[in-house]
Amino acid sequence: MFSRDFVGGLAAVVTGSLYFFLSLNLRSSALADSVGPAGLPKILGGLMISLGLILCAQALYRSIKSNRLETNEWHGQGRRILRAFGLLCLGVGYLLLVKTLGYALSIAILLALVAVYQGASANWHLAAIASVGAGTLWAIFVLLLDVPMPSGIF
Amino acid sequence: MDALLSLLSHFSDINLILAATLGVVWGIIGGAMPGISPSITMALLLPFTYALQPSTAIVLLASTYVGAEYGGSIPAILIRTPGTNAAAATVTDGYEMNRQGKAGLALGISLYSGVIGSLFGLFLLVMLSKPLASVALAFTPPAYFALGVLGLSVIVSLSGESLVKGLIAAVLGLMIATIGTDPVSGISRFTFGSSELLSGIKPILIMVGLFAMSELLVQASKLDDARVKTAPRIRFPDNKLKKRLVLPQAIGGILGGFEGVMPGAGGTVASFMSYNEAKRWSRFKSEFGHGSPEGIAAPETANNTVAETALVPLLSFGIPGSNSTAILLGGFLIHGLVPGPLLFTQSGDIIQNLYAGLFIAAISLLFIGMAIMPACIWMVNRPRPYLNAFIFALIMSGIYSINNSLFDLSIMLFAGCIGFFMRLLKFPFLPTVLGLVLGFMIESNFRRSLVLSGDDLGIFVDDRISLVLLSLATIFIIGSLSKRFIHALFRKDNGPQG
Repeated sequence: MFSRDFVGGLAAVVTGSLYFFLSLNLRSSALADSVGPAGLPKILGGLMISLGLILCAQALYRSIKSNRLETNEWHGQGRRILRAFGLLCLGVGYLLLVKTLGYALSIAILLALVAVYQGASANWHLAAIASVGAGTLWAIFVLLLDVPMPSGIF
Repeated sequence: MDALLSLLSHFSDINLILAATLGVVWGIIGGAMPGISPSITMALLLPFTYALQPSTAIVLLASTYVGAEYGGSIPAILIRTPGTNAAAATVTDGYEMNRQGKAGLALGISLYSGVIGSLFGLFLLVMLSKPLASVALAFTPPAYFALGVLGLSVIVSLSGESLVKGLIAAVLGLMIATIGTDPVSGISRFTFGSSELLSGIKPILIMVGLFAMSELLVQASKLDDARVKTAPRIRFPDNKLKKRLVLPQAIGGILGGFEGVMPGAGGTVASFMSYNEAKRWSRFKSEFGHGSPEGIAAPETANNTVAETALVPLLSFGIPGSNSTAILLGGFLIHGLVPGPLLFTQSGDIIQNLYAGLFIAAISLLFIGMAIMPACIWMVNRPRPYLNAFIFALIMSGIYSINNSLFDLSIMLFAGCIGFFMRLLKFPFLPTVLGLVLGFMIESNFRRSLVLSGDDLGIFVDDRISLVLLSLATIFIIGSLSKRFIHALFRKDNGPQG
């Protein structure tokens, strides 16, 4: 019953409902035209809910028609989602640390941690690659492109 | 013809050759960096142009634009990261070819089509500047609205197996496009008090999140390295393939030429429409989305044609239709030159030098592209842990450099999560990107049109361009829907597949 399409439809209904609710609360303005700032958002919210319901109905119809549970398509997905979440956490960690540690050090740490997370061995070879990689990126963005990257507190 | 002949006399200027070549090199570097847009790449050069001769400065900036538009396709093909907005249409088939071990050929097709697009765009710029400029002036808000709707009409064929999923993805893109300040009343929408969201969410943040970040998350979720390594050299299409690419390149050139002259339309719309039309007219439709050479040729020809024809409204009327041409306008003004009809009579030499410089830039694109590709391919053949770590670090650095904002990075990571779950639930990305890019254009011009007409919807029919574009959109939608219906019926008659 909880096929990918059904879950996708459900997600669309939830997203559409939330968006529609928020669009109901948009302020209006004396400068507003006849459509108003909430005009399109309300239509989009309604459309998203309707399309989500259609997708759910299609998924239900298919599962009833085929008379079998589509549980196989979720097999092993939990572990994969967790591994992806781990990588995302490394990105969030970088966001939290970059202002304190500065760009060059943070990006070197990010390079090393992501490589280890993806299966590289933590050794001197990795440290050298992370240092050279961070140096290259620093040279491109800070020296060449003149981007004011966070310098950190050190 | 006289215009073309007089161009030849400018080719011996060494300063011009140097400016065009360096501009292309710099443009490719900037375009290939995720987050560094062509306009940023050009803006970084602007201070250096003060000391240059006016012609050299203008050629340097314009060649940078040409190089950057091409450069965006390199990370799109190699690491699933569109370097520019317009390169988003190249990602699907380019990256698929890379996964099949054909990165060299994909890059070769992209380069070959990019050069053809540049030369074709230059031809249009030189020969048809005046008639094309009148097209730009004829565009009013209803016509822009209709152009946006025409762009959205391709969603039906970009939706993949499920039309409902494609439509949901497109609505999601349109929803994201409504975040920020309302285009008519100035009220903030869905910003939750955040000043960073007032100017809306830049499409490149969502694109890099959806394509590149989600790919990294998917790679992280797998333990095996199932990549096919590719030979570290660029491979140009053979004669048979070149013949096959003629039609998509013609489609890309025509649509790029048309879209380029319209201020605000830009290379992204041209790329997506070219991709869709190339698919519609192809004899190998089923290959699209699975590594089709035509799926690279059409959008790459289109966005490189746009890089040239976008100069038409700038040179003819002084109207910058995009951020990049606005920077170029800055380059003109720095040297006391005011683009417009008088520029052609008062500073004809500058215009001739610009045309010659753009020709040199298009040719040098071919040689510079060939020179840097082996290094790029060598990089993507590195072991997966190191490659993914470098891509992650590169996109985190590139996205930060757009606005020097950590908030942008969090938006990109969030878009990556959405992309990961969209892939898990088998939703297509391209409709989301299209909705995101066209949302603001459609809404703002629809509402402006109603304000102009006193809420009379007839304005969309009264405006001839709008009527033609809306009719085309209707024909495209009905055509694609009936094709889907017939296909579904045919499948039903032949029993369930797979």
